[in-house]
Amino acid sequence: MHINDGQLRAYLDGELNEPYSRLVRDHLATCPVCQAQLAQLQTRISRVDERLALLSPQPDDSRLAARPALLSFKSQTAMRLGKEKNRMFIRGNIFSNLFTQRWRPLVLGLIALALAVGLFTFPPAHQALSAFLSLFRIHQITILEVDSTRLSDLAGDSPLGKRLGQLLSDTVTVTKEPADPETVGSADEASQKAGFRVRLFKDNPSGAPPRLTVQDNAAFYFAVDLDRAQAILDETGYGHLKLPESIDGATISFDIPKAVSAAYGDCPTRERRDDDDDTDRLPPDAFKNCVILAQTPGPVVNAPPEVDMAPLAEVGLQILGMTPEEARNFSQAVDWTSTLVVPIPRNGAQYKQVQVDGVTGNLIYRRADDGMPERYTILWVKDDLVYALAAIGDPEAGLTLANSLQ
Amino acid sequence: MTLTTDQPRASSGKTHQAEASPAMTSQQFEAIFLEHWPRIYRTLVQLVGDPDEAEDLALETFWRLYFHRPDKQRETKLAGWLYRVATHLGLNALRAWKRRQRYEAEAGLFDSVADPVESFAADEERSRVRQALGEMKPRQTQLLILRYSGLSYRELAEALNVSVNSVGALLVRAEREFEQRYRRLNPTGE
Repeated sequence: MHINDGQLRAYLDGELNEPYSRLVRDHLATCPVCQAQLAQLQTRISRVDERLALLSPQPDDSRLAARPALLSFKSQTAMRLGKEKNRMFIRGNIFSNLFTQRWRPLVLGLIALALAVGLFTFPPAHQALSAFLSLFRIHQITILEVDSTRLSDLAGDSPLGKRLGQLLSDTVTVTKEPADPETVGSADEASQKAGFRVRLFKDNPSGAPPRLTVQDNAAFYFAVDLDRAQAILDETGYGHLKLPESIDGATISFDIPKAVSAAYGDCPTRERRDDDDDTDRLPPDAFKNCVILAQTPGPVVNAPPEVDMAPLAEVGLQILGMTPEEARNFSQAVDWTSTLVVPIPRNGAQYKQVQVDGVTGNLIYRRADDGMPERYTILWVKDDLVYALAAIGDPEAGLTLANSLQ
Repeated sequence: MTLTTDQPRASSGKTHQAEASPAMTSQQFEAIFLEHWPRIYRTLVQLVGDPDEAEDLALETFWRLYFHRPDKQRETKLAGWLYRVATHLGLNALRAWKRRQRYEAEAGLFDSVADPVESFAADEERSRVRQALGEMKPRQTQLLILRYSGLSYRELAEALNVSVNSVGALLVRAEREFEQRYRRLNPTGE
């Protein structure tokens, strides 16, 4: 019977209490196997320490000193307090405000869909919901069909939506405000600015090169107040749903990295959109040769380890219309830390999984209806980047394009 | 500048003074700052490399304590919270760095982030170490960095929300993982 590695390690670190420490020492005295193992562990520790030592600051690094740092902190805090007063206190609802011009880049980053994707497949309310749920580092995308009447419960105008926005907006601190999007001249320039390799189609559909835009990154965080959040659920008729205790006081932060969009053909331009949310009401053939390709590393949410996202997700899913049973099953099947869940209204669009760009992706397709032509969005994740391709017309054309990315 | 004790948070939240959270006096905050700053800063340098960026992130960590303190009174739990926030910030920055490295390597621009003052060889190795760390699961990276920063098992347990008894085994695993990845990145080396 030998000593396991964990205990040996603790022993080496002097972290093993009596009587275990003595027991280990006695055993080692007579056991060559464990002695060898101990030596091996010790060697590895030294090696790793040596390598990590390379990363340390120089011992004479002045920034190590705490008092000067405190002075820096104080003087910068004065500045911050000034900013805090002007911070993003959103009138109305955080979701509806996401659609003002300033924050459109944030939406793009948040849900990793080209803004025009919303144009083509979802009305803004649904997009806001996607934004809310898609707050994780993305490894895969799951499409969730929901009853569209329930979707509106979480959309901007519903009582719950408004109160949720209020809850968030009172405590949101923006640590990085996105600058205005920037048009660039080449994929190289876009890659340089965005910090990842931008891929484009091998050949330009409709002949002309795309208009490339780099959307700036953003970061913000808020502290969750469990009482208030539960009160909101209580008041809006969802009192039977209990939020997990673990979220109380948790600081949840969001990092939305830069994103790049490539617009081929005649596409709606930023200047036209402004605060106009009539994005559904486009003339039918206005943008029929427009193809939009968006790519982004996907947003990252940081929640403290004690925050258990699964029960939180279950609450959200029940609000969307699932039974507690369904919510639990769905929630357990999804890795909430790496899945982008895109809810689509049951009677609004069709979707299916497709093979695209060498991976499994999702195709969301809407038939021609209500004056709008048929349109689609293809979503996939490859090499830690989320891609979205949206266009009017036959999805097959889109798949072909997506498969030509380089 | 003094920190004032808080009144109950204004429910409308409009233009309330951002004050220190309840039950923490300015002396307490300063004491915490002075005690933990060097290790927080060191941890962040290890993760992100650039001292200026590390300094910014370290300040950010303490701001979060200042403005949105979690409801945890005990000193050790507070320290754990600080380290968690710091390593989260650092790991995010590391991820962004990793992406940029990958892009620049592919574009033939490797070495553009090198510090011109240091030797090429040391820089490459540092780069590899950081890359190996970046490839590991964030919690393993956190564990290694924090351990190297000198945290005790109890402090590590608080920072990572695991039991003290499991720290030894977790460390062994993390070190093994680190070595494997490092070797993979350094095939010609030892």
